[in-house]
Formats: sequence, C-alpha cells, structure tokens
Amino acid sequence: MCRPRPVANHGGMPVIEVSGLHKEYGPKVAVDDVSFTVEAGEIFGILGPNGAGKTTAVESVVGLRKPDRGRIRVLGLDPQRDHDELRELVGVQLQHSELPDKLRVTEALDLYASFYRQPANADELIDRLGLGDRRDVGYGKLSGGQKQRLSVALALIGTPKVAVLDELTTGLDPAARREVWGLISEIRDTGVTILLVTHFMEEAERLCDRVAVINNGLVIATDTPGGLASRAGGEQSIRFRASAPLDEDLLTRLPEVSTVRRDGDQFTVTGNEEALQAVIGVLIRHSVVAQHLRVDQANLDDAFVALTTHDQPAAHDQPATHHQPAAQRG
Amino acid sequence: MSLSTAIPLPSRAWRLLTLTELKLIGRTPAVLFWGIGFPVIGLIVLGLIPGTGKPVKAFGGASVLQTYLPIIITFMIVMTSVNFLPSILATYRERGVLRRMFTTPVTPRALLTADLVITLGIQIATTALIVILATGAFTASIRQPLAFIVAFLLTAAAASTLGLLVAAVSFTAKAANALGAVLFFVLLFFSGLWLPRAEMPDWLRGVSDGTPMGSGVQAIQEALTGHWASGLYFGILAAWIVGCGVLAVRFFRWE
Repeated sequence: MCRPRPVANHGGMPVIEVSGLHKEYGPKVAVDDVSFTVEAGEIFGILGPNGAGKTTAVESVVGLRKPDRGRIRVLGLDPQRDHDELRELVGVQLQHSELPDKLRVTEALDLYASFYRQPANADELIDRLGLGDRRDVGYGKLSGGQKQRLSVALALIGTPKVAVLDELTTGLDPAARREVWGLISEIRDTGVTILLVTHFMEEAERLCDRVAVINNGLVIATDTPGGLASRAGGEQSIRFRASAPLDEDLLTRLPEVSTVRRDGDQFTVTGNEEALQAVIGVLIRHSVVAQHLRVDQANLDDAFVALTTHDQPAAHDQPATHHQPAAQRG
Repeated sequence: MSLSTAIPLPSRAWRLLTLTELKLIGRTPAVLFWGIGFPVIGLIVLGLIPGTGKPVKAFGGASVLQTYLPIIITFMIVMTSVNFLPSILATYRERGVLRRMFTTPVTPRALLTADLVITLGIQIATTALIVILATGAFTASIRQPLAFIVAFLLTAAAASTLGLLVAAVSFTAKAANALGAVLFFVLLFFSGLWLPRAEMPDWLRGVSDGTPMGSGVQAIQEALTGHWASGLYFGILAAWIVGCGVLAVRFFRWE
C-alpha cells in the first residue's frame, strides 16, 4: 500500500489549469473553447447562464467527462489518466447527486469517510454544517438546505486539497444560503482551493476572488467581481416612478443618458455620472416628481447582463441557445 | 509525471459499504416481505395443507410439496434478483448516487459488487431457511445435496446477471421496474409456478428448458430426487450467466 505521494504545489503553480477545453455531445457543442487557471487558496467562480457549458467544464475538471480537445491539469495531474490519484485529493459536489432516502446523516458521512485515507472527523463536520440535531434523520426527510449541506459535507469528508462545488446554493432559502456561504469562506481559510459554479450573482460577488464568465461555451471575461462590475462602464442606474405622464423621448435625448426603460409610470434610466442631474432637470422642467427614487451603481449583475446579452454572431454553426441572462433569484 | 496507480480500497470501505446497503434493504419492508417472508410463509401454508406430502401421479410420483419446493426457491430468486436488484441499481443511477461515487476513491463498481453480494447472501440465507423447514418440519427431502447446491448457485447467478442486464438497459428506475415485472411473470411461468413443468406439453417444456428459471427448476428438482440433471440444463444456465454478464458489463452506464 503506497500512500499517495505529496502533490507538487511549489512555487505558485496553479492548482487547476484548463486550456483550450472543447467538448461536444453529438451535434451540440457544450464547451467550445474554455481556458482558466485557479491559484492555490482561491475561490474561483464559473459564472454563466443556464446551458452555457459550466457544468460540462467542471465535470471535465473532475474527470467525469473526457474532453474532445484541450489540456486539463489539477494539482499537476491529468483528470483522465490520474483519476485514481485525484479522487483522493478533490472533493466534489455535483448537481443531481442525491443519496438513498433511508440513508441517515451519520451513516452517509461514516460511509464516505471510509472511502478516504485521511478522512475528516465526521462528527465535527456534522456540527460545523449545522446538522447536529439531524444526525439520525434519513436523507429523504431532510429539507433542501440540509440536503445541500450534507452534500457539501460529503465533498469535504476526505479532507480534499481542492473542492469543486456545482450550483451549491440552488434551491436554498436566503438564510440557508448565507449559512453555506459562511461555511465556504471558512473552508477556504483552512487552505482548500475552491472551484465554484454558479449562476447566482450575489454568490459570486460575496465569495469569489475571481470569476470566469462563460457563455455559449466560451469564456467571455475573467476578472475579479469588482473588476467585472466596473467593466459595465461605471454606469448608474436610476429608478423612479413619475408622478405625472412623461414622454420618455425627453430622457432618451439627453447626452448623459444611455438607456431608458419604461414600464407604465416606472422608469429605469442608465447613464453616466451626470445622468442623475440631467434627468432631475428634465423632471423639474416638466413639473414631474420622481417618486421612490433609487440610484444604483452598476454591479456584477449588470456586468453579467451586459456581457452575456452581447451575443456574438455564432462563429460555429451551432444552434443559438436560449438563455435567461438575468440571475434567477430562487 | 505520476503513474496511474489503482489505489486499493481500504477493507473498512468494503465492510461499511456492504453493511450500509444491508441496512438500507432492512429498511425496505417490500423487500423483506416479498423477498423473504412471502416464500417462507408460502412454504409453511403449502406444507400445512393435508395431502401435499403424498406422491401425485401427474407430477411423476413426486408430492405437491416436493414439486413446488424448487418453484418457491426460484420465486424468491427471481423476486430478489430480477425485481429488487435492478430497481435498486437503476434508482441509484437515476438519483446520481453512482455519479457521486465516481468522484470518490470508491468506484461505483464497488457498490454494484456490494449489492450483488448482499442479494446472493439473502438468497442463500432464505433458501437455507426454506430447506430446513421443508425437510425438518415437512416431508420434503434433498437426496443429492451437492447437486442441489450447484443447481441453486447457478440459478441464483443466472438470475442476478439477468437482473444486472435489466439495470443496464433501463434508463430510469421506472423502466427497470416495468421490465423487471414483465420478466418476473414470464420467468415464473416457465419455472412452472402456475403450470408445473411436468404437466406442460412437450413443446412448452422445450421453451421452458431454454429459460434460466426453467432449467434451474429442473436441475434443482432432479437434485431433490437424488440425481444430477443432464449437463444440458447446467449448460443453459452457464450460457445465461455468461451472456447476460457480458451484455450487462457492455451496456451498464454510471449515469
């Protein structure tokens, strides 16, 4: 029995390297050309609309999919060739991976702990994940949030060096989501590198050090969440309800304003830093009061919409994928 | 660059995996009742009916009990191997249990192996109970025990590989259940549950011989009366094991 050799992680070598990843399922191109690197200790987010190729990309990283082209290295190992070795070092939480309904929380963790050479303490992990009072409850009787936390626990039970978490807070209520976020930050603080797949902006903004935005199988931007947001052009978004009828052309004509959206008497105006002043000026001149006025700086949400709706004409004759660019708050 | 070394599973993993699967089955009342309780109760009821221990001419001089003993054992084997096993495995695949295992040091193959071992274990234990009851409390006898053991094991193995094949070709748990249910009735018909093989017309018995359960019942039946069945029956069972096994391995998908 040879222990897995210590994995080289010297001199700032990236923990995950993906270059030129390409994967097709029959005629459908799932991932066209994806490259990114994840450094040690980072929380790296992969962000994109549904069907963008995020899941296929991470499934290739963990060795579940064999890429058609491209090179992947995780801790310097090839997920296809060195799969046996990597299974010990990479903890994975995938979508649509459930457990038998009658398997209890402690049984699940004890079982999965037995698969690894250096498992974490199952009891401690249960407590840390707030499942302490659910130890003897079967998987089928857990709430959505508890199932998700158990799933995260199973990804961490082998004390991995890298954790890959796909859509980790989907279906959780806001309180449970915040709990899981807190947990992920804690895990990173113990030195685990985390690859996080999400279509949820707030999650990326709160957790990720860097984010790659994927759309139609291509990486369209890689940056820090803040960097991406500022790419949206430092635009302001001004929202208000007009107290009296207002012709939206009056606003559109303003040089400071870039877009105007009107929904009944509700206006959403975006523009540069002087836009607010200009809009208010028009309103005053027409004796319209802006009720419920709100001014927001562009955030990752806006950046994401701007990036992903910028639909490049399909370079390949792949069918255009329909996607909802806005994050689904669920 | 590193060599790909297959890391051997800790024996603790095997033990816990088998134990956990066993617990899960223990929490499934349908398996306990239909797989174990029902055949045992069936035997007791049959044994308590007066006259079932006496020779019957239509059954070639064997008693009703003696004729139905192999069928009861076969019923139990088919129920556990062709109905429960594929249903469990297809559900695991459908719910992503196998997918999750693929990302851990334990391959999904280990889970399959554990479930096969448990199925066989349940079959051996239940058959032992049935045999002890039938020979101890009632009048049945097994005159050629070695032939009985060989015939039983081959029948169980044929049913299990068939069950694996059902799980392999069924994309969903629902499909596995439906296919299992159809096979259940077909196999039990040919094993002689409703029309004992001795009463089947020649052509029908010929068809029955070609099925794993028909051959299995014949081989077990002859062991009870004291001889080894013709090699043909063992050959048919072996062919089913190899055929289903190869196809199951060829078509099984983790997800």
